[in-house]
Amino acid sequence: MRKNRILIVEDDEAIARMIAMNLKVAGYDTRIFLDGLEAYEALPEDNNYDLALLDVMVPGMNGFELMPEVAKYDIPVIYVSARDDLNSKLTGLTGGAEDYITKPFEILELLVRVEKVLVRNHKIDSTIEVAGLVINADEHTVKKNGREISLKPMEFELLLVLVKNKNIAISREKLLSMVWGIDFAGETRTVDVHIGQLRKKLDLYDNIKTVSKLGYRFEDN
Amino acid sequence: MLKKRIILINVISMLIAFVLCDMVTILLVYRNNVADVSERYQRDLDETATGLGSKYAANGDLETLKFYLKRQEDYYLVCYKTSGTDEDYGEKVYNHTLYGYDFYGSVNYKKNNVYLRFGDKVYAPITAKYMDLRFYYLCDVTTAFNKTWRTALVIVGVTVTVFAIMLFILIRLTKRILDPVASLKERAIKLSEGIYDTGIEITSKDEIGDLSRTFDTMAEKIKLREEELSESERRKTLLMANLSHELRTPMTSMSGYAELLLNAKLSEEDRETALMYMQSECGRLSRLSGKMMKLLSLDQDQELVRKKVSASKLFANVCRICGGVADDRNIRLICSENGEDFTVDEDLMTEVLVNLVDNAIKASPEGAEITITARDKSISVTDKGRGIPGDEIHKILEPFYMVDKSRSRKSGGAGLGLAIVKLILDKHNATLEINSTLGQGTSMNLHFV
Repeated sequence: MRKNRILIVEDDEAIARMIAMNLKVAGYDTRIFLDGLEAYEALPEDNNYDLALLDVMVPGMNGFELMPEVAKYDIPVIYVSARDDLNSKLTGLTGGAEDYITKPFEILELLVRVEKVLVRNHKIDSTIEVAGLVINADEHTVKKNGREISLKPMEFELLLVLVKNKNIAISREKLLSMVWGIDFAGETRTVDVHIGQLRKKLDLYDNIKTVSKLGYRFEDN
Repeated sequence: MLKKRIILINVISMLIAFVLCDMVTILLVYRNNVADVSERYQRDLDETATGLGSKYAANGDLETLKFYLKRQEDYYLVCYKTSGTDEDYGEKVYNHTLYGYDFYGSVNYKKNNVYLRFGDKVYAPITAKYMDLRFYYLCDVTTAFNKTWRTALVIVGVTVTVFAIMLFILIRLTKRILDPVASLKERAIKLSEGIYDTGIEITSKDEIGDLSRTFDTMAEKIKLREEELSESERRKTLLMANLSHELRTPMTSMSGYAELLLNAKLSEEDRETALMYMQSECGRLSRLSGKMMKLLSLDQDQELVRKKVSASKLFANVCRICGGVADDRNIRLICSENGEDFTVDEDLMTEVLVNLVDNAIKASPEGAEITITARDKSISVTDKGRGIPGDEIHKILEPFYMVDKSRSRKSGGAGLGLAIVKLILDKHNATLEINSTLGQGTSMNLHFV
């Protein structure tokens, strides 16, 4: 399975590396530019990106100026900016960006938005191969060793969330809201029960780890 | 209100003045006319009385007196014989007045200005005494009286006309004087509503005009003050916005790394990188807060400790603090002075120079030279670094402004150094002159008063 490649233009090195590290953990490849102009100059040779995360205020060439160049190569853009005024957001979004995230952001939010944009632009495979499983998000099927295993809808959604955020621990509360929806007034026990079912049905005792005090993490090396 | 009061006071005082003037004038005219005539008659009567009286005294015969009285053929002459006291009018000797008017008991001659009217004639009764004889006479003062009356009418007429004209002028004048006050009031109201340019102009050259001009100046000053205040408010807001941005950025990456360390399974190398960045971001935050505290404490009315400090002392301080960083980059600090003294706050001025030299070091390539020169009333810090773009020179004194954001951040800048410099120099009434050529270097000149 090809890894999605993401361009990061962000002048703050600490933030750039942090985003890259998170994306790497979530299974993406990244390339970082700390200067807008350098990114612009590098694009003609290397433009095989599935997504670009652009900071608006970067030296050399700002995010808004860089946008048309990135769009030339059919790369969807998400702005990541500290500018949270409406005007900047409107400029960004009407300029063709897919999304606008303001700093400070929660990394999980960034990952979800990244994935949504990738799905919307059909940059992501609907089949995910992980830990000996072949998961097809469109068909809602899971195959293990070529044999289809039937899962209840919520079990499937839970598996999908865990797999998409693999190697990242997600709390029970977050899982509840991500899988069952924010309005779901259930207990976190529900999550434990479904995790148990997944482990049993798919033999994922080694992969779905319970992280004490936090929640669950899908691990796959 | 004021207008009515002023007019009323003036009308009353004018009335009093006019009435008094008229009374005095009329009295004078009367004295000149009527009184003169009656006095003349009085003299005649006195003579007649003496003449007739002496004749009567010579023979004591009333009949002879009557005979002489008749011979006078004066229809206005009356004679009484009294017992000698004033209260007694006595026995009528002769009354041949035209109208048969009996004076007896009718007229109190002691009173002045008693006139008797018969038809269109006016008479002034006069009297004369000779022994026990009383002579009364009605002198005809019609002409004099009428003349006086006519004159009085003319005087009153003139007075009323003058009064009317003066009233008219008074009202106009009061209006002219007080209308600007009304428009001044209107302007004051507008001023209170925040409208400074009312377009109402008062050009008179009197006290009201002065007041109006003072008012103009006041409005202008208020406007200026308000603009200054809103400008400072805007600066403060900008400062806060910048500050929150400067705080947010390290917070974002720190919380991001923390989340990673907490939730994700990271390789040993990634863990170390994350921790390293967290540490450096912490350093950035602490530097920022330190500078911020400095800026805020300076902004408040911190007293300067001004003393005579020699340039060599200041330069030594700077070299001690900046020497290490300069050495790291193989940059030479060249100080030149000729025993100049500056009356400044040593700590704060050292801070200024350190900031300037620090900036110069950051802008200079490795192995370059930075010169710090003291001249009569100025100190300059000159580097041969990359320079400041012309359109950014005026912005660099603003808090959080960085010409090269990412480079400045990397070298530990928060964009507050020059803002601090400016505040300190302002407190010293010193100015900062910036000369810079892109690619050739920058010269920062401090000028003391």
